[in-house]
This record gives sequence, structure tokens and C-alpha cells, in this order.
Amino acid sequence: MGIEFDKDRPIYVQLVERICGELVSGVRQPGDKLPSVREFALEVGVNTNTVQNVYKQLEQMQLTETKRGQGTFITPDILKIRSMREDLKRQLVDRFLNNVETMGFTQEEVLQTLKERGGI
Amino acid sequence: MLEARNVQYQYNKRVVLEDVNVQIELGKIIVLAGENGCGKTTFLKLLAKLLPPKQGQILLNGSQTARDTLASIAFMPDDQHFHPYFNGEQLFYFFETQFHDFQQSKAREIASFLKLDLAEKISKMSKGNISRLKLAATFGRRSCYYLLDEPFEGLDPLVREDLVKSLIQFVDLEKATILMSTNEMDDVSKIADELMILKDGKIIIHENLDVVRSVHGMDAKEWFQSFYK
Repeated sequence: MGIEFDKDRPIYVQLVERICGELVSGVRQPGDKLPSVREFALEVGVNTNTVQNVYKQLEQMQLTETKRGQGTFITPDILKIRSMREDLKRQLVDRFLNNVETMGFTQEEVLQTLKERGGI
Repeated sequence: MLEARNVQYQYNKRVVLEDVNVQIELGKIIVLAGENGCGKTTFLKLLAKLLPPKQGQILLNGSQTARDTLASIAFMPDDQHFHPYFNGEQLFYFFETQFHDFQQSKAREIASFLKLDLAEKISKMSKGNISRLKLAATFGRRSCYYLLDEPFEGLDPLVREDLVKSLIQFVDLEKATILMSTNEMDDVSKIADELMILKDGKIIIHENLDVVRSVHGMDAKEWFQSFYK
């Protein structure tokens, strides 16, 4: 049931990332309504406390808005989504570089390989 | 809050719980794990006030009086002694006579979510359906603490998944806590907030699983197993 999670990070953190990813890829659009806490909990197979926490984080990141009696919506403010997109990109690159440096590769040789591979 | 303070329990001379101290807050899903025979069932029965501790205290909201305890705590036993000639419907009526906090409408809603046929006699039901019925009857009660003893044991994966879904769907974590004994970490690691481990007569671990993930890099299953190596 639901989805699988990494062992080494809290589930709510992974769900926040997942929703951010869906915003970046366009699966969720500005202004879209998010499922209710319970619906989302059932969908991914976690408890409602976890989803409450996810929605709280998203709201603090100003990516969602709660309309009284109507539910939670993705912000219509495209600038907010764009800035999250930039942050997410930087985080992913940092994590990647951190990994390759830990393994002893230099940034130059990694950049070289990236160029060969994708025609950067 | 439900609390055990210096609780000791023994069967004749065999000490099962030596010195148990634990605080259980409202609004959580908590897993109680530990080897077979370590005293999980005894501990749950003590919390439910179905057994009196030999020493120590069980406190509900700071008080030892048992007056409102029965309505606040719902215990779901591992075995079941439902009347085999009852059908689901009759069982719910029976529960209504036994528990003041039992709500027919809620029990029926859960039963229908689990696609149970309430007209079927319990003696004719599959093991899976008896477990589904047991869950519907238990959560038909409007309690604050639901203590479930081995709710998944001996059930196939489909039934277990059904039960987990019902817990997500029907438990209002703003008003209630679930404490369930199980060693089936795969079933519960995604829905549990906290893990408790009972070993050598004591609660040796009571920890938030987000913390376990961030600090130790382990999920509930690995963390649990790490205490038995």
C-alpha cells in the first residue's frame, strides 16, 4: 500500500520533497487543490499526523494556502514556486557533488563527464 | 495521558514486568514490540485495567480511579471469544449493551469500508473477516486509548493492509491514541509515530520514529532488530 520511503530521513520530509517535485514537474499546478489530510494519508499509506506536518511545512514554505472550509491549495504565486524550484535544484546539485567528492572525484572530472554525456 | 509508574507484575513466581515506567500521550500511533512471551499482552491488560499491577500504578490523566476508565480505554484482545452463533449485526448490538461509548453508526461505517457482510454468522466467517469484524467493533467505541494486542498476527497481507487502511481512515488522532503490540514492522513502520520496546521486564526504548530515522538512519524494523543482536 502507498509508497516506499528512504530509511534515513523522516517521512514528512520525504513527502514535502515529493510534493515540491510534483510542482517542479508540473504534475501539480498553481492553484490546484491538495487532497484532504485523510485522503492523502490513505493514498501514501502514512498516518494523519505525518500529513498534518507535511501540510504545515508547505504552508511555512509559502507554497500552499489554506482557505477556511475549502481546504489546502497550491499557491497561485508563480514566483514562490520558481524560487522553490531554484532551491531544490541547488540542493540536488549540492547533494550530488557531495557524493562524488566523498568518493574522491574532482569537480573538474565530473564536469567533463557531464559534458561528454549530455552535450552541455 | 495514560501512564505506568514503577509497574511490576508476576505470575506466581515468574516476574514478567519488573519495573515499567512509561507515559502515553494522546494523539499518537505507538507500536509496542518485543520477543514472544516478553509480557506485551500483560502490559496492555494492565494499562486497560483488566489486571491489577502487583506493585506500582496505572494512571489515567494523573488519577488512579477506575470510574471513567472503561469508557476511555478500548482493549482489543489477540484471541476472540465472540459468540459463534452471532452474526456481525448481533455482535454490534451486544457491544452496545456492554459499552456506553459504543456507536452503531461508526461500527457499521467501518464494517462497510471493510466490505463485511454483517448478516454472516461468526462461525462461518474466515479468519480475516473475524479480524475485520473485531476491528470494526473495537473502533465503534468512542475511546481515547485503543490498545490492540497483535492485530496482524496470522493474517494474510491483504487483510493486514485493510486493517492498516482502516486505522488511517477511522482514527481521529486529535482525540485518540493507538497502542498496538506487534513485531510486524513492515506493516506499521509507515503509520507509527513512536516505537516502544519491551525487554527483560522493562520498556527499554520509547522513541519517536522521525528521530530514529534522522539520528540513526534506520527505519523501525532495523532499529528494533538492532536490540536483539
